[in-house]
Amino acid sequence: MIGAAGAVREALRVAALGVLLAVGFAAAAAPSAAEAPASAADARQQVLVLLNLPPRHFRPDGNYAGSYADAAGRAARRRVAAQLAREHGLTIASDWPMPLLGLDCFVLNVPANQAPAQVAKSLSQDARVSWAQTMNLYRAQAHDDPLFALQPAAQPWRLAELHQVATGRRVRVAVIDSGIERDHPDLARQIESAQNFVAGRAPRGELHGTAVAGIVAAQADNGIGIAGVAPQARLIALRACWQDAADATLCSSLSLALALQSAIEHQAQIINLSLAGPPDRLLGTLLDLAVGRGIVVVAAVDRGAADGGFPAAHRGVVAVADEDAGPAAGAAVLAPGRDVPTTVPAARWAVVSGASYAAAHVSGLYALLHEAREGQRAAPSQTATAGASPVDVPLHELVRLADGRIDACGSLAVAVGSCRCACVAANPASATMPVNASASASTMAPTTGPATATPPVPAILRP
Amino acid sequence: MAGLGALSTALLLIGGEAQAQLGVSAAIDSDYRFRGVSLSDGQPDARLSVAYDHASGAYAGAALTRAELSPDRHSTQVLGYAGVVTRTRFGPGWEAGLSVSHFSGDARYDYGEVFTGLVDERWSLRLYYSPDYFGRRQPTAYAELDAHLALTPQLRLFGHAGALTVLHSRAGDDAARSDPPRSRRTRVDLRAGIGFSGAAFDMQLAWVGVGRGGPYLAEYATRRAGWVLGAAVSF
Repeated sequence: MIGAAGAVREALRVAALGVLLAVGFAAAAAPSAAEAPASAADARQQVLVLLNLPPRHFRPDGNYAGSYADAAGRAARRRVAAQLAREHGLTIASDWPMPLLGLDCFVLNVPANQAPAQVAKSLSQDARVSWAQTMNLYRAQAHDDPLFALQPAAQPWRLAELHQVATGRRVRVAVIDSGIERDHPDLARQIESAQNFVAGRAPRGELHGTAVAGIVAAQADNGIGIAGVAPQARLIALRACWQDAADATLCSSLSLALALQSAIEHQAQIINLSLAGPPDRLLGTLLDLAVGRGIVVVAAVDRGAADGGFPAAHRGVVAVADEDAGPAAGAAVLAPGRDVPTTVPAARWAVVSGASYAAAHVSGLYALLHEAREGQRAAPSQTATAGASPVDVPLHELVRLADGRIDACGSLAVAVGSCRCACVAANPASATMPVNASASASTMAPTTGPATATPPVPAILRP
Repeated sequence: MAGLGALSTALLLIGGEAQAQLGVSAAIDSDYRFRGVSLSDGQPDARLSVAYDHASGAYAGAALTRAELSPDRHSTQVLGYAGVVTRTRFGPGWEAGLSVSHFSGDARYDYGEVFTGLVDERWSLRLYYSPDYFGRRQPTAYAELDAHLALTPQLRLFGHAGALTVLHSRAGDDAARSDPPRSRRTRVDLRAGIGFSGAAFDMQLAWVGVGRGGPYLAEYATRRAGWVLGAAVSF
């Protein structure tokens, strides 16, 4: 057996290595020199280079997941990226493994005298690269007319009646947006987890993300503020956008991709994307993965784009437009989006308008439908109507429309198999909701110009 | 280090593989624990590894490790392996391969193993079979379940549980007469710890525990539980 002296030697050795470990941790925890772009202009001068990330497999040096050899693979890919950067006169900004896609995403800075689109095209032709693309910018879909805040409130969805049937209990809704104020009195108990994917900008509560989160899942029956559409849903707050100069809310391809990957990994049931921009291959691949895994992806329509913009026009994504602005392009459905009272930073409430908030309504509704359907799965309704059981059909097929507008009560009635609120489920004019059936990315021209929209000017409501 | 990096780059160019990746790493551990059992008499150990990954999912590699299977008899373990793993987007991938170990200066411990399993992003389950485990003329099967949880992009928790069992000795062999009783043919090993990954290095601190059963490889007493600390640099 090992003697006492041996045990002491062992303890000393482990202690010495512990010091080495601590020093290494400290060194590695230091901020990286390669950070996210400081401005939208910097982001537009970057390209994303996607390299093959081999799947995990047997390693002889301790086969437990995440072994040393993974670091060796990472070093090999960094070496390839460094070679590519040298050959094209670029510099590496950062590196983001995306194991869900089997890709390692390198962000490269392009000198001012080179066009990023041309550099991406050239890199894509390199056999070492899976593909390369420009860093696109996205902006939140909110009206910028301050008078909207003074107009009458949008048509209610009979929320109190809906909540007699479902409240979104335990449904995880990922809100990919700007920072959500985590200690807002109407949101503090609603957030399951939060991550920041905007490097170089300290996490903080921002207008757009906080407003969207409140519409989806603000706490109900707490005597203050508002009730979210799904007040018992669990929010996954993923900050991929930031409030830029002039209060415009911007996001990049990279930050959105990282947030989408996180939402999928956290097994979100619904993902809200209240933003729009040019089509993007990396984001499209992640959206395909999410939709393929049965996650409902809701996106705001950009009325300035012929087909509603990306990601709203992407295959399988639920496109939502503000119902007060009239019919929208493509398969978009209409939901309340004007003069919506909701949460805003500094523990306040305000009225906001825009397709972003229409999308948030629909994400909340999907949380209700998800809960109702799962309830039916566990205990089928005795009064269920004839035909296909609601537990057997995709969630979007439960949504009912009347003149293009979402019939929230009717949709929930279909999900539970009975009419428990003043619904119009039996109305023959009701139709099932379409989702985008075909990818439209290839038909659109990227528009990576400067974002000029400004967010709504909120009218402050007293709590 | 620069030389090793240049070497791996040169090998890739010679191979002409576009999306293939070749990595080289050097590691030290406070104890070389293999399936819970120390192969270094509880002493620190160094290892040099080369790993090759093809875009198709085929992979191969080799590792050079100092081993001490008998008291004061140092040898070098040369381990080669190859396999293939499939990638799926909506579920675990499937994997199969083989490994061969040679101990220089003590070839009686040489052995080979085949394996298959399921591999997901966060976990893996593998089954191994060796007809002559560490040259003991005993066929063995080993099952292991590994999982990890990323706390941050750099920090992860990991866990491992494995069970090695002696299937039977070859009929007529002397070894058959020395087979352990059925109740002691299986040995369980556990490993749990925390790991940290930097740009080109990796560190791990793990608790390792192992049961009494099954074939013990080294001819010296092994502490059945302890902490192992390790670090690796990649090129």
